[in-house]
Amino acid sequence: MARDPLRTELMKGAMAYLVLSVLREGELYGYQIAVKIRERSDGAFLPSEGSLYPTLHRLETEGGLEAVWRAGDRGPRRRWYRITPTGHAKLAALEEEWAAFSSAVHRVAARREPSGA
Amino acid sequence: MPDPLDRATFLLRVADAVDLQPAEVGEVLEELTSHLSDAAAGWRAAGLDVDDAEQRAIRSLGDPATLGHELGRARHRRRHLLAAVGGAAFSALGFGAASLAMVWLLAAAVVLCALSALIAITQVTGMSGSGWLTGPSASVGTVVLAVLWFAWMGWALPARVARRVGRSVRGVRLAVGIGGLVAWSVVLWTLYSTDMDWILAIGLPLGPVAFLLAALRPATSVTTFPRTTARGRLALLLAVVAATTGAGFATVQANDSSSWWSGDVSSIGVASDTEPLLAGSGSPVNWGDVQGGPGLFASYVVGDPSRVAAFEQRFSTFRLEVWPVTVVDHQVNLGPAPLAVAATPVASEMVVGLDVPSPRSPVQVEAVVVLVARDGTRVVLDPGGLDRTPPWKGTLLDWWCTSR
Repeated sequence: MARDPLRTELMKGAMAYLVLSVLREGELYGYQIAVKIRERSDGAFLPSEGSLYPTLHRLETEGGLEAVWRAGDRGPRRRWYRITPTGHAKLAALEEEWAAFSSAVHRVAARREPSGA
Repeated sequence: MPDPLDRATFLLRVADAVDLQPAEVGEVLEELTSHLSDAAAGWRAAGLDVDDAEQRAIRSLGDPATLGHELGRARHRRRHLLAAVGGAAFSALGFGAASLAMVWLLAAAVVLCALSALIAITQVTGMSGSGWLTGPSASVGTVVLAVLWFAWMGWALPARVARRVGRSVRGVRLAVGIGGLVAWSVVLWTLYSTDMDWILAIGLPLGPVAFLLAALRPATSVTTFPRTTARGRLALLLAVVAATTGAGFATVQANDSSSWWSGDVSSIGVASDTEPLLAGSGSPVNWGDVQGGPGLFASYVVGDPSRVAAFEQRFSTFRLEVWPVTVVDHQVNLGPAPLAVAATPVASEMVVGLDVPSPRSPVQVEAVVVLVARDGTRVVLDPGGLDRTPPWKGTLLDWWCTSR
């Protein structure tokens, strides 16, 4: 499955934002996070699961997430992630940053110089 | 296109690339395994067959080596460099001190046993055992012990440092090896001052090299000192007590006939009993503690005040001379020139002193006190005792960089 390289790079940069966003509503484990991102974006974001797990672990070591192992009803135990107050603060900062970034991108893209100037 | 990987191979490659402690690697693999199971089940539910679903799940995780590397980096971020270096230094110091104490205890026990046995052998065979546990043989023993200790440290330390800083042994071995080589070399070359000879000067620098070589092939898990049973400890204690007692008993019984000697100093002067002016009192040559404080001094007081003028007219200089000697069949032969001389003009009371020279290769010396007459005649007042020059003391840098 070929992926758009630009989208892949954008996904890498936005992965922490997306992960914290979906975890704001409750605990999830890694696979559920990937599915949730895919579903909410209507399939536009297919998170590289290879970058999802390093992002989860990085957020955990930075204190933005807490992780706990829980045995499933069926199958193997899973590592559940929960957002922490530090994670909420980071999410707020990312939202602000992303809004400013996307707004700036829109402004640049929408600007038209008057012809013949 | 590369061959598709099966799940076990994929996980093995992740484990190979992730630079974490084994327990953390296990957790990472368990999380990825559960992810692969969930993802494969999801693709099966979407209509793929079992094999395709499994391959799709594995491919979605990307390159296993990259994933392992990124996971390791993600978990290292909290471990700042300073904490890692501090943890490593703490491990090295604690473990180093404990293992050094262990090595020296064992060495002391071995030396005690060897001493006891050697003295017993000399008693039975009549051989001379003096010097077996000192001089070059002691230096060889020290070098062997030091190199073994450094190698043991280099072999055992990476696993301890890895546990402390949360990395894999493979990930820290080079840093530990090079760090140890540099740190130990600095200590040995510039800070560690000791009695040095050629064997130590060449052998001690090998220690940090042994550390590096052993660190490159380290123990894969934390090693501890072997624990002995109560019976084993009791046996060790009895062995040490027996060796100590045996050595002490043998020392008391020993009669070292090699210590007596007679000297002929006629080559450097005439005997004092031929000189009628010498009615004063002189102290014999006083050696300081040759091992610790290599001082040497002598004094002379002209006892009869009425003879001072004649004494000063007859003699010009009061000298303390340290001569290299060889002893053959209890006969002392002086070398061609003194190693050290201290002199003072003649007076009614004279004191002269000098530092005993410490050449790189210790030699046997005899200190003599000489009065030099104005006509050049030398009168040997006091042939001092025989002794060896103290060991050359300093750092490796001093040894190799100062003039010989």
